Amino acid sequence: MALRGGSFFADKQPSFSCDGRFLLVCTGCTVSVLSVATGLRVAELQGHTDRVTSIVVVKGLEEAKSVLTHAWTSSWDKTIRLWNFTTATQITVIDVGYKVVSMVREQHETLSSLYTTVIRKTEFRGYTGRVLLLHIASQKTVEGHLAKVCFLRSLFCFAKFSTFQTSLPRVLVASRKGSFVGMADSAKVWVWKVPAPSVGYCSEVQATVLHPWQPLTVMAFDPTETLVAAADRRGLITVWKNVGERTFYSSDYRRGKSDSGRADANDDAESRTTYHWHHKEVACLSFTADGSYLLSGGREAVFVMWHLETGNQRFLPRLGTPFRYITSAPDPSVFVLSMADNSLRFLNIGSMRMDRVIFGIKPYVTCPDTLEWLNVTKVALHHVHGTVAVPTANLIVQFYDVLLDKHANQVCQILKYNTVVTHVAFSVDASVMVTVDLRVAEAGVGGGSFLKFWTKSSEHIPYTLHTSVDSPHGGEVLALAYHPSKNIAVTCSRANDFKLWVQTKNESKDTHNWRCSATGSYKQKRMHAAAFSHDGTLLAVAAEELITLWNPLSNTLVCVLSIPGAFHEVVGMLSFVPKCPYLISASFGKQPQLTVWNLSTLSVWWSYQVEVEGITVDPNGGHFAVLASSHTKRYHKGGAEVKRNGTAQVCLFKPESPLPTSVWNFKDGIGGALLFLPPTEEVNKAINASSSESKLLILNKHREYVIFDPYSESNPKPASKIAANAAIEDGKLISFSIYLSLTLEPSFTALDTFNAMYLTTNTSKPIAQHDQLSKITSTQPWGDLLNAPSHVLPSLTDIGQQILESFLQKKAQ
Amino acid sequence: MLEIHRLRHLDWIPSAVIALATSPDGAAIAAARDSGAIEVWKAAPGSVGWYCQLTIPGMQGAAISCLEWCSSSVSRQGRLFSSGLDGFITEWDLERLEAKAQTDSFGGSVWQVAAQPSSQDDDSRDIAAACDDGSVRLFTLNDSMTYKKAFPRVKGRVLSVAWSLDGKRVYGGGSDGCIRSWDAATCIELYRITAGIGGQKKLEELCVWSLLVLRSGTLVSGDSTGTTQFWDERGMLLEALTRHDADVLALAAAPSHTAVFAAGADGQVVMYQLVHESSRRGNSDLKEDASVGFGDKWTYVGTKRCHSHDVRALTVAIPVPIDAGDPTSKPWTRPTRERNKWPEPDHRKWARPGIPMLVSGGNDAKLFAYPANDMMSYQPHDICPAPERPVVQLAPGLAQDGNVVMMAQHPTYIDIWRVASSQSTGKRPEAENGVDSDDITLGKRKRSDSTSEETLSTSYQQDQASKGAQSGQRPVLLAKIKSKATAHITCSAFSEDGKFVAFSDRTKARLFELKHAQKQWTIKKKNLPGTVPPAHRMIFSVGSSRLIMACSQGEILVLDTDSLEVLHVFKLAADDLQSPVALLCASPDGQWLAAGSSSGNLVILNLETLRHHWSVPLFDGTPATAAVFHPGNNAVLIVTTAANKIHVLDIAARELGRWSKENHASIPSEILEFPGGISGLTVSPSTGSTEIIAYSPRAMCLIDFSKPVAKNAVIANGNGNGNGAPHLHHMGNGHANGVHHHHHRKNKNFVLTPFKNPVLFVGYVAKSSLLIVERPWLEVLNHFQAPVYRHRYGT
Repeated sequence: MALRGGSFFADKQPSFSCDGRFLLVCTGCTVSVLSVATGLRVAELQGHTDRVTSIVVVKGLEEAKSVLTHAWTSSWDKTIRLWNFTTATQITVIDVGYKVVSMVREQHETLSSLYTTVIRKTEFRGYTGRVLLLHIASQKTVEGHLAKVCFLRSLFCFAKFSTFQTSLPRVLVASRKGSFVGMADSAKVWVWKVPAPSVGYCSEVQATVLHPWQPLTVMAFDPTETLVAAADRRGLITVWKNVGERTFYSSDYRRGKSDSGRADANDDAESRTTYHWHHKEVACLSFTADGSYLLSGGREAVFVMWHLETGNQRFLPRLGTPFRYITSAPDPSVFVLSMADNSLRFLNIGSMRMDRVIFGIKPYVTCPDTLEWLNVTKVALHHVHGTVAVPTANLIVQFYDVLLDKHANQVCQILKYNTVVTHVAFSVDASVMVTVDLRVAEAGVGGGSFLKFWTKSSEHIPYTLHTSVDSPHGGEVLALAYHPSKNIAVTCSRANDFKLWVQTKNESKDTHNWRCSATGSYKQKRMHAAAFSHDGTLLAVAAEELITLWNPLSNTLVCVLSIPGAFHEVVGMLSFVPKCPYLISASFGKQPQLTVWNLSTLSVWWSYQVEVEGITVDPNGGHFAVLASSHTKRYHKGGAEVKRNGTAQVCLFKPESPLPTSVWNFKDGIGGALLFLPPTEEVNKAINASSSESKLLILNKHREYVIFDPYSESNPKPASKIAANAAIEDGKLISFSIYLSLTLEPSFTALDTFNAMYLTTNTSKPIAQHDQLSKITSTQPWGDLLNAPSHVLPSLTDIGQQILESFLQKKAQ
Repeated sequence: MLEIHRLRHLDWIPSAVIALATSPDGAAIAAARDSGAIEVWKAAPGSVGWYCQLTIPGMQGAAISCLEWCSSSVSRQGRLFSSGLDGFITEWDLERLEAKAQTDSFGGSVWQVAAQPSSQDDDSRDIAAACDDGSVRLFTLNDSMTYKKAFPRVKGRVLSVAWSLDGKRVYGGGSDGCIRSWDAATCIELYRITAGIGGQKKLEELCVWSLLVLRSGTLVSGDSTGTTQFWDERGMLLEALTRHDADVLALAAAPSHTAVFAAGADGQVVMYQLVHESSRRGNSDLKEDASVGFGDKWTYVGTKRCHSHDVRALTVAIPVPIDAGDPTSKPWTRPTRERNKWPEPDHRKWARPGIPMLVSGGNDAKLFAYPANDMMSYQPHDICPAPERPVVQLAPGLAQDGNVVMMAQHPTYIDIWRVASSQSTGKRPEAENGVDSDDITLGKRKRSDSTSEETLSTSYQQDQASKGAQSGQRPVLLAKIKSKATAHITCSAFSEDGKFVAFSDRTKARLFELKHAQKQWTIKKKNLPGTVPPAHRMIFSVGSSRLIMACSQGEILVLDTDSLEVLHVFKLAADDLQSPVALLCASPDGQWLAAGSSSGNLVILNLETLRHHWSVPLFDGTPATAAVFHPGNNAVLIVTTAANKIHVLDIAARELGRWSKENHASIPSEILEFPGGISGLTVSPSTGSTEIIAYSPRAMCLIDFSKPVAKNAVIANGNGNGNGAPHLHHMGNGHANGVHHHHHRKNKNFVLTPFKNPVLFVGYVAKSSLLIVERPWLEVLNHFQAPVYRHRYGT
């Protein structure tokens, strides 16, 4: 059995139920119904097989009370579905035939038509879409289309506007009273008047077009439907007044008015006013219910409330993350802000205060491009049952309850916007938390790392700051590890050294202090990874291509391991397998490698040439799992490497054997993370398992996760390949494939491919491994061949031959 | 290869634009400056630029507060009035460029005047003047102005005045924060509006600076709180919009009267627009929505901030095409939008005849034009890149030691400079050429005896003279001739051999002899006979033996500089020269004289036979801006017009020259859209040269008449035949000096070279060396009063 969670609330616009008690949120392939009062999930609408793109709550007549709990959803799976969201049942499925990007429904008495934007075809540079009209009664689209839409990736014509950072899809907007539907295309604002139900062709729908000065991002209608506001990528908000008088009301529109005073002779609007405060892209716009205020939010993370008459502004600054959507609630003073840090904030615009915040699991730290090499901790196990620690931006460490799929707590020192938490580690009893945060330099000034030690003081406050070390090393901290039994932490840095930090008791004041007890370095090499062995007697530190083993108590170098031949790869991950003498290392570079060392013989036990995204070891011992980005085809396009396929593979190994015991395909897994959860009662209960084996938690790049028992026999075995739909129709079996983006596909084929692809470079005999790898690196200069400790050097005959070969090749060239 | 010398030391202090007025036909605007000068600007048909048609020079102590240009049955041009803080109302003669009539206000300083609107060109209308003593006075306009009556005095000053459109009521806004409405016939105060909103400011502190009456009867007021308020005919407040950070100083309405522009001391020009009540609001389902207001509303549209200082005046003009038969002047329509193309912020897209333009002027001396109907979509156009620039003339005959003498005409004095001309003598100068460096000391100044009414002061550069040629590379102020008269200098002339300097103001012409002996410069005044009238333009001919003066009434005098006798007076018919002469150009051999008027006439006179030779037909309705005789062939005249067209005239044959005939259609369009408008021509002194340089304050362009003019091949990346041809090239650190090569084009004909700093003069000082007189605009701005403080983010 498996448990999944960690959905991204802010990806699509949420929608309130008619009574305002529920909020419907798109969460991947499902729609979650959240209770506004408690913030908890009440129901989940499951059925779509691809991402849900929009939700339209039916606002029926008073007498049709049963309809009030209905909602339409659209999805990339080419269907539109009608639900009763209180009972979580599906009523109707309409197959549209195209991927639906956005959908609005007219709010007239007749349940006749829906507007949809659909993706029609995929072209080389992106997508072309159509805005279609769909009759609900006949379940058919009206002939023709309302507009053609260029989706963003194809906007190469705006290359000079280089500020494109996000690619918001074009979204349809309906006015509140429901007489108009609009869309902000990049180059124009479309406004359509809702047609009569009898309309037979899209060309009969009246439309008007407004032309902005800049490429637009969003638009909004005011409650009186006379104003149209649109915002562009440079932060300028444009408001057109009396839009569509000529087009829609020309019969009773006053005549004899000269056109010379018009704002723009081509546009059907009487005046155009601009409001400018945002200096970055505006992501959302909304009018208040009385139409006198305009609300906007952008990438600066500042909420602005404009008084349209005077242009006066009210601000709500320091929100921390960019805006995604503003949704109006039935209560005119409440708006829901969907923020990019996966939170929903209920804002009361009267008091300008947040009534409630619903946090989801926070997205990954996004490092600036200059620090892309930084190997950040993606997720760390917090030893309180079922909680993981998630380092995020703005100096926040979030504790997320993965079993309840709920934000548990967060540690936040001071909201600092250009600072990210890069590493988190815990002591075994979780009484001490160690974090490393990185302040991103602005224009080359002010950057730096900070090492912080936190202690647990009370139940309510998760952690309090104990010691802060400013710039613990000369450079950025690359790795952090905590000793399994003692209060010792190790940090590795870009400044070619590692430091051991110990807690010592100050006798006079009876306090504990953290101090640096030892510093080590090896051959002036950068230290990229560190790990303690599970008994705490050995510390492994990766020094570029070498692995150095130290005694952390006596601070002495024990020995050095070298991957033979791999001289230009950097070891980026290290992990000891408990209860057996194995060390796992993963290196990066042109020839990435996963290597298992036998520490009793100090030799390579086996290795794969595979790029590893994450390693986790079963605390019970005996197994480890890796997240391998195996199937990625790398090709060069304009100099940049593009990962074409996001599917990763999760492989479970016994360290003794190079043959994986299980392999799962994991969609969108590249950039993900994985973690073994200890088999506590809560975990077993949550996923309906009873075994005493550890459970595996896998997160994809959107931080959607799944928890399952990798050893379980009831686990879908390769033979029983389960389709997603079958799982749903069964109704009882919760499969891994509940939504497509989080598909675990255990299959023989995957295992076969894996073996077929990598077994060629794999051997169970370390000696043979030597030969093969030596050949790979035979083009290297001979000096590199000797750059390794003597115990791993190949035999003299081998090396002599290679040296001679390298000389010969030089001459040949 | 051209060598470029730069001079940046010239004093250039343009004065602020105080008031603007549009001519009755809407085609021209008059701008009054702080110096008292009044300029008339017109848009050239077929061209995008505006040009200064004529200038009435200012005078010391002038304090114009307001301009009013009303129609008249007598004159097609209308009558231009100005009011001043000196307490006078003046009517100006645009042909003689002087005051026609003047009357005392009998109430102290006049803050604003407004002419009574009348449907027919009735000359017996009234003009209302807002006086400092607190009363609005009416003057009847007949042949001159006659005091009619005064409205009852109010407390404080009356700062603004406006007529209702039927001409029966007068509105006056005062320094007491009230707007009053009087019946013009009975002098009864009909009602009074207190302009302060909700006790924002004490009434005594609130000044109503500007009033505007719209066709709908709406009264618009701009006051010192930065608020623009709209009132209906009965004095009820319709809308109060506060969008300025400082006082609203001027108001203007678009021709449709559905948009109002307000200019403020904070440098902003704000557009307000009347948005009619939506026809949808009458729907029944909207009526219960009580929070939504009904009726037409004045709403804020947007703001433009292009002036660096206070905006003092606004006006709306509609440049009309003069010649309706011209195919280029057909009504212009906005080009339809191409898909995915954004309108470029360029005035060329909108500035067309027939498009109403808003013009603003302010303390930074500049004039900006905006499209009145679509102000927010386009960038404003700086129509006056070099306001009140000093007139510069060279005396190439006086060149010595690689130096040349230059004269610069300022409003109250004339400077004579010695500047470098070439590197021919002495050793090769440094790349920066000395001329660029700004740390030049002018040496000792000595006052000579001032027996005459002019103060003569000469200065010497003695200390470096012994160092030879290299010292000659530094610009030296040789002399300064100050005019003691109150009127500013109208025109000046500098003879080619540097022997004579002449200038004239509104009252009198003066002649000086410049002598140079043993490194000593002396200036001697030569008294002209009392019969010599003041001149509009003057020039020396045949070396320095003749002084030619263009006076009012179409008279052109030829004066002998030795005997000081008037040799001949050309009396040109009104058909030939009906408006003041704006351009004089004499051929180097002294045979020909070209005289151009500000209305576009060009007359060629033969100075040897003293006869009228040829009245050149109107080119395109625009006056000639520059003219130069071909150095090789004195019978060939090259003329540029305000429409940036270049004509070559064959004077002897009395026809258009061969080059013009052949290439008239193929002159590149870039020249027709010359940035800043061609303001001068200069020709290389060598006789065999076929090149001229046309320049404007913004750019210069080298034109070679010996080379083909191919429309596409030249402007596009030409498949050029320009091998070995001389081309614009400047020595040393070129781009540091601000001149950038436009693009490397193979064909060197018609290459536009834009300037970074406004350029006042470009002239050949030797065969291959060019003098550029320029001044960075930021240095010019330092002379102005600091603008209203504005907080800039991050400072």
